[in-house]
Amino acid sequence: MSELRTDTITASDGTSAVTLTKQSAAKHWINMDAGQTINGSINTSSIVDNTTGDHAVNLANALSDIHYVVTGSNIGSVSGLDSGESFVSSGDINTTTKYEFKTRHNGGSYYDNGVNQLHLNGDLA
Amino acid sequence: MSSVKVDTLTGKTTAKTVNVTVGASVTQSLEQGLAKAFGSFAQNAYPDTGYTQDFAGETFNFSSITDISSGLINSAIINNTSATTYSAGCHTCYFGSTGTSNEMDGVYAKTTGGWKMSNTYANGSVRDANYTGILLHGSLA
Repeated sequence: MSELRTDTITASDGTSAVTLTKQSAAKHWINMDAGQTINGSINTSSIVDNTTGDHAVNLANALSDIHYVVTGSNIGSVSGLDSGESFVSSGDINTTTKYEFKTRHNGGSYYDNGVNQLHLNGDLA
Repeated sequence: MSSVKVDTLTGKTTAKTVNVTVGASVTQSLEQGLAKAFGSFAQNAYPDTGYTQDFAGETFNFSSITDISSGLINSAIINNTSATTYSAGCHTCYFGSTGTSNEMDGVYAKTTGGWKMSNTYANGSVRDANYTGILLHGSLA
């Protein structure tokens, strides 16, 4: 059993990204409520409430391209309906520094749900 | 290309914090980027995939994933999170005669030891799905 104690690991050239063998770390995740409060996250600069059920997340560090993957789920905000609200991911306005997503009520209309939880995987610039 | 072969990485200053270069110059805590739990579960059998009714596929850090009622799943993790502000995502797949429908789930009743989730069909009804993928990011206690 060997153990390496260090605070920072960088590729051998001193600048390149470190390769994690056969795995990829998430480059962003967020737990945010519909009132636009960030409860927890990494790599987030700000969040935007576009309109009802329509949100944007601005990233602190840019992605290398727009073909990254965003997934998410939400917690409903109406008593008794929190088991039926759904999440719609929208890739139509994604950029290397921002992605947008929509949430809707179980009745199908766009709706600000209680808590939104999203994850992003891809490569940073 | 150089490599370091080691069994355990530990932060020198803070045990859980080892920063790695993830972009041209950006560094990120390795611990913050790694999923703390993942799993897959089928409330209904999913034809041709090997998923039978109430079958849990590959899982990590889950002690149980349970079908508790129509469309509702309860999960319990082995190592608790440090708070309930983690990000839990899941994704549902429905297989049927009209094709496969992908719907995102609701996640609720979160504790540091797990959470409940609901599978919502395209028409808005909560019903058993053929596949649910689950992912957790955040910090462990």
